[in-house]
Amino acid sequence: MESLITILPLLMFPLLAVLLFTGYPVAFVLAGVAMIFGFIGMALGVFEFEQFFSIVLRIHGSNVNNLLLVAIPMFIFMGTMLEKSGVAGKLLDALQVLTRRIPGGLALSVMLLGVVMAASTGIIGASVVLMTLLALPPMLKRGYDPALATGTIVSSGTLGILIPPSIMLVIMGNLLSISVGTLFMAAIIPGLMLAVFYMIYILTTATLNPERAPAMPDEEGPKDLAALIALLLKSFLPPLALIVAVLGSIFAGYATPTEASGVGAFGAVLLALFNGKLTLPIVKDVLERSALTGAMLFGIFVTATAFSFVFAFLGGHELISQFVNGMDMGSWGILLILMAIVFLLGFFLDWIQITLIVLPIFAPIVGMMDFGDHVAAGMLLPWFAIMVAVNLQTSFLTPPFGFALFYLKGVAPKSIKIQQIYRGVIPFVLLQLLGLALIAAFPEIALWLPERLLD
Amino acid sequence: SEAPKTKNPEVVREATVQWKLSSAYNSTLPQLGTLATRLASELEIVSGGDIAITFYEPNALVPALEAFEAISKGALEAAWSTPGYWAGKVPALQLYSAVPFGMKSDQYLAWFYFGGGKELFDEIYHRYNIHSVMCGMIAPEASGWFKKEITSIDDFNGLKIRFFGLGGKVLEKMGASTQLLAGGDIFPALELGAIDATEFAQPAIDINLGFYQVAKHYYFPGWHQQSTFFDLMINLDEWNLLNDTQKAQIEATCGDSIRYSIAEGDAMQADAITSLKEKGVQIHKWSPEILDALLAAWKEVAQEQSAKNADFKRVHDSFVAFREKNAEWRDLGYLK
Amino acid sequence: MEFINRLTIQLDRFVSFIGRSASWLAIFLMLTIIFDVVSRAQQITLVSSTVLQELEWHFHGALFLLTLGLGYVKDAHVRIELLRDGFSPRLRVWIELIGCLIFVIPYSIIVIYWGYEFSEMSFLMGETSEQSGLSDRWIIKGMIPAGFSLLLLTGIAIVLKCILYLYGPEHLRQRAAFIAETHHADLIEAGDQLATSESTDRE
Ligand code: NA
Ligand code: NA
Repeated sequence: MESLITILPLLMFPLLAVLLFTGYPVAFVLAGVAMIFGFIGMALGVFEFEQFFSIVLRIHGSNVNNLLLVAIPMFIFMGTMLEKSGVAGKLLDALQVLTRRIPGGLALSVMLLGVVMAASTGIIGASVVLMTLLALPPMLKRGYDPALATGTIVSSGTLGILIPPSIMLVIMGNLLSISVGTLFMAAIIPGLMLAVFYMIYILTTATLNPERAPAMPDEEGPKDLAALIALLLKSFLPPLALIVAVLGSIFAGYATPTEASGVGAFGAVLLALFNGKLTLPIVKDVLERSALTGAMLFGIFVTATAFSFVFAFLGGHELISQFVNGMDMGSWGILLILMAIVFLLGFFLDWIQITLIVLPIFAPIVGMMDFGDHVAAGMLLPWFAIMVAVNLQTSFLTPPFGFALFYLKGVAPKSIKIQQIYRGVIPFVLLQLLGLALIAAFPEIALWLPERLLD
Repeated sequence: SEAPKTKNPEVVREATVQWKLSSAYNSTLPQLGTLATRLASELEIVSGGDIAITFYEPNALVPALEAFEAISKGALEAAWSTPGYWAGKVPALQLYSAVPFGMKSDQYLAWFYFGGGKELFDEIYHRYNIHSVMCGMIAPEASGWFKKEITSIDDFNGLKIRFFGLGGKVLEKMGASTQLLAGGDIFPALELGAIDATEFAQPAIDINLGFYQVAKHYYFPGWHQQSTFFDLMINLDEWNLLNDTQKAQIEATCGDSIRYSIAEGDAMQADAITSLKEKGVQIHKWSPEILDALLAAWKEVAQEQSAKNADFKRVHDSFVAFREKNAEWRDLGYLK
Repeated sequence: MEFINRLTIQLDRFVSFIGRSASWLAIFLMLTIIFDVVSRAQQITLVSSTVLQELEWHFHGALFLLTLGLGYVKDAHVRIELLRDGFSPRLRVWIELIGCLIFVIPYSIIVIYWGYEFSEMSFLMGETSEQSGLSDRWIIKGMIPAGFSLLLLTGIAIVLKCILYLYGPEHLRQRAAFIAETHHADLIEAGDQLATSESTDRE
């Protein structure tokens, strides 16, 4: 009995995994497993009915009373409006015209768009949904391999948590008591490095298998220079102005990154107006779809918080802590184990819970590690934090369970199967692991910028 | 130094009091968080293993600002917090965190323990089924990080600043526009200029968080928080289940925690100030004119709050009456 | 059976009406943000920034809570259909029925119960903003039990639809057809048929 109580939190994972495969909605499975283990805990005398109250407190404190999450409905609305008003489609058509000579030009444009959007949001979910809404329909219409299309989108969408500003890095900074500015700086090169890796992969794939990434045929698109200029003016410049407005409002100090999402939503409304698509039926349609997408996303947020509460309450944190503290190996061995734990937890818990659970437990251990001349003692924690960030990003993308995959799946057209998403994301996951290994082997990838630019 | 000792799992299993403690601050934050982890390990030692408190990071069980309800309803046994966090629920409790232009730590403690403060404190908290033990007091805070120098009272007009609590209301009286801002937005907003300034904590804490990288002007003294109380909140039913020895162990350990935190807080700032200066931070002190204007604004705020809330008035009156009565002794007894 | 069918239609209609009405909060949210950004940049204060920023998260919270139920009516919540593709329609309906009975319905009841306590406590304390923001915090807290009540009603409607499918007459089966046949809703492409009109969608 005693040992059953001890391992109880670990048993939540296999049940969750099995139930997810029934095809019942992910959100309700998360909630159900949390509740079932609450009741099991009650039967074993380690949980009380009152403790379910904390789940409500977490819904309010983490999901409702959280100004940062305001960016999610705004980015969803912006993406849906751009899609429904035809602005996104025209933008991507224009991009295809401009990049038709480059193999995989459309996918490369999408990746570039993802890097740019990454600078305006740092919330997993918001950026994945936004990128899916904007880029997936045009890519499918062009005849892209759904696997390549979804892999491109989901990996470009998750760059947002690495490229600053990023709420995850802020929370990590606070938990580890290291400067947020240092972490922001440290994340820039790894983020861009991953983006470059992705682009090289896309370029290679499109060159070797042109049928996976068809270019716009010559008979389509503008026939002469005048038509090309007209296309650029009508389709390319307005959305470009929107992106400039969103990023510009942040960098000019008018809006916080969260508020920039509202600026973007407003800009999308204006573009729809110029496009003559701002009619009541379209607005109602966009609002309802946005609401459904938000419900999908927050359904998972709200229930994931219940799942991780029960896991924590039943002693999940202590289990991890005891396991880690009981390890007896060298610094590199411990680092590898820590990374493996973060990666595995990323399958089942949302990032905020993972950072909350593991960083306080890991920080003292990492602080005591000795990598000789490999990393300066003072930069050990920032280096570690960036590796955790890349690791989590990878974990969210890794089949079969990854929150980013769920979000993409939630908005993707019905024709897209989860198997295709799984297949498409694997090369990107491998590239991320390569990136992670490089950062481990060459800490300067992360530390060079902050060491040069900050005191 | 008195570092927290690691917890022995065997002891935890034997303990008669096994509480989960939700902290409002990360365990790594100097003082704010470390006091709570120290409390847990000291209590285990002092009680000979009879009282085992497990520390949880903020949000790991309940979000920092929801602990009040959790304890009140018995979903959680204990929390580490500061009473001012409950400003929206019980405004009077703000006066038990820090009072703008309030007393220094020794005098604040004198009021709390011998001037009627504690009686009102217990009465108010007990109404919500919470028993709270004062358990820490930290050194004065800084006034905050400013991107531009503040040279006159007019500079507050239109200043976009993130600032909490009663001090925030004082600044609003001065024409500042206080911002709520999501936690994750503070740093980029300050860096890029969406806000002009932010308050945080004291030098030894602020230095770790890197605000100096984006705002170079650091202001003192922290008129809004001369000394700040931290408390151990306990579900009242759980508290009543304790025997007298256990209650005394908690009270004694918390009393010691106040001793420890005042001493530690005062000792740890000097090095932080030195290294902040080395990083090019410009350290400023408010001019007497500005402090006078802030004090006048605070008196208005205190009056308004007293008019709005009867408990706030009772506590504030008690605070002011004690300070007046105590004034002659402070004047006679202490060198200026 | 005809009565059960009419009941599910009414339940769906009610949840959809509230959800669709709540979807307009996104517009209010957007305008509030723009108003705050513009007035801050122009150094004018008509409404304090703190009030506006609290309004923002109030709108956001009410928006997602009041549409959780609509999300289930429209089958917008993500599913992993890897194995589900191979299941028979009847098995899929059974999974949905059991899922509602042991997950969605009891879980909603728990959240409604404690959410009501939470909101009531706030009301009795006269809770306001901890800053100089909005008063009456109980209203937004009350959106938690309100939103989960809508989810509960949806869960009940789905149980009834599953019963119709499993035991009802042939002509009522397609009420549960989407549970038996499709995965989750398509928010980009096929969305065209689930939007706007009250009568043509899955009611
Ligand atoms: Na970002
Ligand atoms: Na994963």
